[in-house]
Amino acid sequence: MEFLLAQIINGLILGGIYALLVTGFNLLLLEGGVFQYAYPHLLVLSMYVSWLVLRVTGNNIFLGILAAVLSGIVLGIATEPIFRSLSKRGAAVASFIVALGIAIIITDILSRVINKGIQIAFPESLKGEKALLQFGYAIISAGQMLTILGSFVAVGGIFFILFKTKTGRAMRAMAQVPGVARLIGLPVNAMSLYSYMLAGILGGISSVFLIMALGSASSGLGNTLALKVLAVAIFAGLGNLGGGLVSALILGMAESFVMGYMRGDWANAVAFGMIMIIVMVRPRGIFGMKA
Amino acid sequence: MGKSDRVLLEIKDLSVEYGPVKALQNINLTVNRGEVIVLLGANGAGKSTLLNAVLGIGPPKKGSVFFEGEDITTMPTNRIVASGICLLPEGRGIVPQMLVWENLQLGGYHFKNAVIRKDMENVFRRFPILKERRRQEAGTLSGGQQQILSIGRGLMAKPKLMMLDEPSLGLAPVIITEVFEIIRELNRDGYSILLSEQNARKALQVADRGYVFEKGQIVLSGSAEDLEKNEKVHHAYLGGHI
Ligand SMILES: Nc1ncnc2c1ncn2[C@@H]1O[C@H](COP(=O)(O)OP(=O)(O)OP(=O)(O)O)[C@@H](O)[C@H]1O
Ligand SMILES: [Mg+2]
Repeated sequence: MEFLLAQIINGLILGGIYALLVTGFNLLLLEGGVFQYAYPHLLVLSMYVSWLVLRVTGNNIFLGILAAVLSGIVLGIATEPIFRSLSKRGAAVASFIVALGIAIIITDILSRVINKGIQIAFPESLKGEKALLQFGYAIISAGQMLTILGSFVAVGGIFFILFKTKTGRAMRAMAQVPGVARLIGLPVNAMSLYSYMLAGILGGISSVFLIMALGSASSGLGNTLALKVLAVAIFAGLGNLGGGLVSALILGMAESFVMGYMRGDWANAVAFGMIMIIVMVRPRGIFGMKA
Repeated sequence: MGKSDRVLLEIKDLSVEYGPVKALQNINLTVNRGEVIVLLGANGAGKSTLLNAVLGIGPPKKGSVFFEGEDITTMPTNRIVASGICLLPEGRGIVPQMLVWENLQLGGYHFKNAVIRKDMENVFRRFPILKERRRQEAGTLSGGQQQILSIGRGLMAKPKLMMLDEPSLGLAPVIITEVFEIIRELNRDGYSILLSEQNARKALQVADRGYVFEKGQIVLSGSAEDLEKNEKVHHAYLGGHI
């Protein structure tokens, strides 16, 4: 029972982080028309920025977290001009190649330059390991609680903006009918930049949660996460925001349970096996593609 | 009143090319305040290209466009709309997966929410059907209702000039009559109108003046009465003899 509970908590944490990432990824796909493969790589870069700031400031936790979130926003906004002209010309494949390029460059830089390419470790104090709630062996630490609630609030905030505000409606209109959005006078350039910023915020926040959950990072993390995000997004149906959340939870839980109940590292094989089957049965994902 | 006060939209020497296709060549055209102007022409004559070009949509253009004396040739579309020109595009251009009221809200995007709310009430008063259907997805409306929604959304932008691209396209005859009646009312309420139409007979009945397009050029222009009597117009667009 306690073991089961522990897996559920882990699944929620993974699911929450995937939900943040897939929402940011879908936003970029819907608003910017970009298949941003490098989105998780940018987030890993934020983890490294945070690590550098922690080192320089003698492990000032507050500044470390601030650096992660702010660098997420800055990196998000900085990538917008790179994709702008491609997206305007509807060059989807070209923009995917550019995204791949960014991903490879970031991975290479992290594996050579920072910390001599060795895996970086974050201070214990950042993990928030103090037990908040305890059920027998199963513990929910402060960090885990923060991750679960934080993901929930952040994703909720984005959905509120998208579905309950004028700006959000304009963004959705831009995703559904880009030509019309422009001719009825919506400020499409500003809105595109805004969506990169929102995706950046989500990336920055998830980098903090990943720091707490993993306690370390290495140059290969970007690729690992990118595969997961693609998997979740395709599983749900590309660009399907609501479906992405459900799929993020499903994948998070599946991974957690496989890790908990099976020997060895079968999590990826099972997760991707599941996705293969879904995609073979329903090529547009379980919830269908959008826009 | 001076000339500049009277002229609302002035298009000077406008040319637009899609690669090798010369969609518009040296177009000169004016819309005066309070006028209804109709653009006539067969498929591919360049009417939509012209209306889009006014809003800064489409390939780069040669020539210039002035609105209320101000050069808007290179202005971004959202600022042109905010300055008082709206376009009701061919095929109506509603956002099908959004609710009727949400479509209206987007039409007034550049205004504060309080202003939008007030304007939406006015649109609802003008078009009760939209009020009735306000919580319905726009894609579920009939063609005529979608055209009314498109007009309503245009009004939300508080335009001085409304440009309508083939508003009668694909509508039943009764509905077409209704749409032209709405255009007449809008004009009576002070909106200036630039209209592209293939339904020349109805369009010339509401228009003050018109321009006839052929292969990207203006081949004829004049008052609606003169165009109606013109042999060429008769043969090409009114289908027959006087
Ligand atoms: N996006 C485009 N790319 C290439 N050529 C185009 C494009 N849009 C229009 N054209 C060409 O430009 C010319 C003018 O087209 P336009 O749509 O402006 O005509 P129109 O008078 O509005 O016709 P219709 O009555 O069919 O709406 C045509 O030759 C058309 O083929
Ligand atoms: Mg046309």
